[in-house]
Amino acid sequence: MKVYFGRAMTSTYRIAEISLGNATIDCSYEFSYRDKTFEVQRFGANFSIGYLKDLIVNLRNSVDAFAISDLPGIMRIQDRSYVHRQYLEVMSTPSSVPFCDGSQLKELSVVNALSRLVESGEIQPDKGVFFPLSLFHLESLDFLQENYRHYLGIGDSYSVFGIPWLAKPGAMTTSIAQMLLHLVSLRDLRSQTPRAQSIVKQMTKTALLAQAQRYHYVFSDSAPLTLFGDDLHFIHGKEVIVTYSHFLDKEVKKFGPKSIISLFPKSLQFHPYISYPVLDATLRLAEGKTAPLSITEWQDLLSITPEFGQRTKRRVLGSRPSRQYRMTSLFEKAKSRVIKTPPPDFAFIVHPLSKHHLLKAPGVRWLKEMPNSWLDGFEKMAAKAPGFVYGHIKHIVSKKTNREVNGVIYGIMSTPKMMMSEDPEVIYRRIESLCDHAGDLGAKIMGLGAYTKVIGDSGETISRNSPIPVTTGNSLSASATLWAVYDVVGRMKILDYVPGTKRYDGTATVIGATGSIGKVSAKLLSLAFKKVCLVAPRMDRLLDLQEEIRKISPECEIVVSTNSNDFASESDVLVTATSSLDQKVVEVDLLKPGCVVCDCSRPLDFTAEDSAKRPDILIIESGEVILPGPVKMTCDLGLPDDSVYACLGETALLALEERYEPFTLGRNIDWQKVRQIYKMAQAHGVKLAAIRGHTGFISDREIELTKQLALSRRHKA
Amino acid sequence: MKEARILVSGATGFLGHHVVERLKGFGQVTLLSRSANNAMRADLSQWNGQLEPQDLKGKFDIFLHMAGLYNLRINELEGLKQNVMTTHSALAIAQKAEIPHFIHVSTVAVVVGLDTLYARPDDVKPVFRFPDWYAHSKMLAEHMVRYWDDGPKSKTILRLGVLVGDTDKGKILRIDGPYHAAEGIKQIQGLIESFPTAFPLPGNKRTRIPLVPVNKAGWAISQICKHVKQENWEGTKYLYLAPNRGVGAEELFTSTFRHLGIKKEFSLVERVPRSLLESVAEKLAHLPREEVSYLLDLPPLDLTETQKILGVDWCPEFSEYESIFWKGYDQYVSNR
Repeated sequence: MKVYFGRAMTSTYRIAEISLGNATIDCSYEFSYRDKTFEVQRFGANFSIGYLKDLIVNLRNSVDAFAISDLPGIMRIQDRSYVHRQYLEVMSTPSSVPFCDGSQLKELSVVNALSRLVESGEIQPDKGVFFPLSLFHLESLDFLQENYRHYLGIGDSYSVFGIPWLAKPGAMTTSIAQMLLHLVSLRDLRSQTPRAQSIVKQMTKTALLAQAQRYHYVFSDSAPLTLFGDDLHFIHGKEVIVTYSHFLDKEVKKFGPKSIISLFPKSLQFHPYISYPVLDATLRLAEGKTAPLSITEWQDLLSITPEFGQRTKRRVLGSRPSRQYRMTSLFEKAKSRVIKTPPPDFAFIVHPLSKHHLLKAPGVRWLKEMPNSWLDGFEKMAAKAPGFVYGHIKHIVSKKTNREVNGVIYGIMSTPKMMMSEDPEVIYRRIESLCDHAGDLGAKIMGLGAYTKVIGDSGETISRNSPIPVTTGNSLSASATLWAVYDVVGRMKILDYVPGTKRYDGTATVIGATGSIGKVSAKLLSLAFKKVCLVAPRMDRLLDLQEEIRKISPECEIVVSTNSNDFASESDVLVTATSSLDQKVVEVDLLKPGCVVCDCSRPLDFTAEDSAKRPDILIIESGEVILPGPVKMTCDLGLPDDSVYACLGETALLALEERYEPFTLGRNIDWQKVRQIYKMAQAHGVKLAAIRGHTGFISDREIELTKQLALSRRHKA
Repeated sequence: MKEARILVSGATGFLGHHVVERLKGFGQVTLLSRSANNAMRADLSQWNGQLEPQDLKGKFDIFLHMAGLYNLRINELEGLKQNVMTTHSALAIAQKAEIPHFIHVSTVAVVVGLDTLYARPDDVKPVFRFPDWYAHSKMLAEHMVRYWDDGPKSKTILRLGVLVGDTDKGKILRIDGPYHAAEGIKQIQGLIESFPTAFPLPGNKRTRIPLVPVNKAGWAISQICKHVKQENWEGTKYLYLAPNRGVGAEELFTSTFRHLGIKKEFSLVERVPRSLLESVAEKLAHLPREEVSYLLDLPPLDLTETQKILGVDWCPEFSEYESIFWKGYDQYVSNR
């Protein structure tokens, strides 16, 4: 079963059609296309952009696509494209599912259908065409005015501003339209809703409709026509041209139009009421795409002839961004600078994991070309610098509660080497000042990344002096480790799973077993493997741990050693969780073919060269998770795509749970808490990031090849 | 006749308790709730209420939709979320679960300001000014029920009067509607008593507030469920749930003065600019300005259809339960 953003994906796709228009005409329907069922629900936002955005936020975890309708999106006047500021605002609402507005599809389809009907004589524009709201039909207006400019009437001045002026298309109306698009707010349209039907408005409407009497055709979809309420009598005996059918056509028919002509392509009319945005969403989902289909694909679907296709293609693709668009973009940029971002829910501290990471900082890339000693000097100098806001992580949305949290990420420029060589007190003060800053910003919990939690007493002193609770994030790091190991061992299928004992018949070794993550990993692995080997530098601590694990897992064989190479040749799984800086923790040549190595150490214990040397073992880096929601990060954590460190994941999870407490602190982490955070992660929709090795993601094929190679080497041995 | 199977939303509210209690004697009742233990888990602010409506096919005869937010001071967003979105989900569930009858509990607030002699049950004329977002959102929800395509075969919209405590103990859960008058007058009691002339209060002699004791409303809704199942009709029907006469502003204020022991005359005022009247009422007596609209602009209601189903005297008039009304208010105040 495919899982798609937390919701079980079945053969039924859900499309939420979010309309800016009236909420009173909501509906729900289903249809089938290419053996898939599509469930569509229309939600009217009643001209409230706030509610429209709220609907998106509320439904984004439940649907597969949003079809945004009745929102004037990208409009083209002459060869310029205009985009409404509030349209941009809506489209920038965070969502992990695509927004489909069907605008290109509508342009191609409507102009295609209209030209065919005009050519065949079924529509005779010289009898007069009245557009009550041409804003929604600019492509048709553009097409018709090439030959029938004098036969067209435009009622937008009334529909938008209440001025009963029936205009003709031309240079003047174009200029006015361009000007209006700079000024008009979508909310203005609500002045025409029943809520605002004052006597003056009624009178001006009557005046406009009297002027519209002489036109034979009324070009408008049914929904905007209902804005005229009981005054729709002017359509009596006229032909109404709609771009798509709507169940409100029934209401329109009550006023006795001669006919209703739909321009919707019959071959794609999967349901009588399907709209262009819904069709756009349907086709994208059916094709498994998130981006719109290409113009050529549309043309094929609409059976548009090549000659006509060239014409419409030119029109659709030929326009340039207008000055208004550029102004809108500038306005949005300025707005984002002036308006402060909402206070973060949590904060997290990262730092460069090696001196080479320092080169990612802007302005110092030139050091790459310089002698190594220059970089060493820079490393020492940078370590003295105070912390700073490195970036933000936004829109983490819980699958369970739909609660959204945002975080701020701080950076300190110390590399692990510098941090370990410096007095912990100095580092503490630096981190504490960041905690103060985060508290001032409104963050309610702080997470310590990488070595900031290794130094000194693993966050305990920092937590005592911090105004907000602090967590090291080690609980989820440990949990994610076993999660990754389990996943890969299961996919390798070398080890036998014994259902009676619920364990793999194999040996797991933990190097750095008495450390924070190592200890919990050892306890958890003892529940999943027949034998567990513990390696750490101090025997007394190892023996304590051995006793502890025997109580938890009496059926598991536990052996200990201070030499990491002792168990290398018999380990099916090897977890390293050390904080070793330069020395090699285990010789890669000694490892058993088919061994799954989980490198939880930072910096890593294994290198890319190790991977290349032993293609029959699988070295994975652990700890990465994918947070739920349309997560956006404004800084580079050195991880692929949307994945984040598990310790950051824990901080975010605690914020989602609103558990602002020092969940994990100190060297000893509570393995019950590890289980607890795992359950939390499952509930909120946190996923294990794709398994990553030194050279990128590990595919199923790579796992299979490693397995085959390992089996052949074992056979030879 | 087979026992009716009724799916109920909003069953945990003030009205919901009374309705469910009475429905139990007549059919199998299944409640929808986000948190109640004895209910089917559903959240109507989500897609299909987070249910799989297909699984409910053929299991229910009636969807009684009472969920929503009753608060005259809600903003636009709250109104749309709590009253419009929940109705959308309820209708979607009813459609997909093929529930043939849909009963929607609305409010008389949707006809406030209607400038006709009588508000007919199906009056849905667009009103140019709604007193509040509550009334506006309820109007939108009503229209949604009316226009919802391909849904339940019968849709009944009940426009409920102003709910007050029951006729046994007068118990209430919060101060709203006519209780606001008592709260407001109590605040300015000193001013009223020292006022040199009769004290001016907003109101007129025409408007009558349709007060409905909650237990009577519960009974009426349960009877309508029964009627809908029996008649098995198709289409959309509107009914007012209100007393024949209702209480006038004069009667309500007289009763309030008597209860509070204020021995002073008052006079009803309406011929001053509306905004001034509302502002003074709000600033001075903390009487919500929305309530003033109800005191002045609620038209008489056409109850013919309702009486055919529930009888003529199903709802007692205020004078019949006045003492219980105040007893419930006093009890609420003393426990506050």
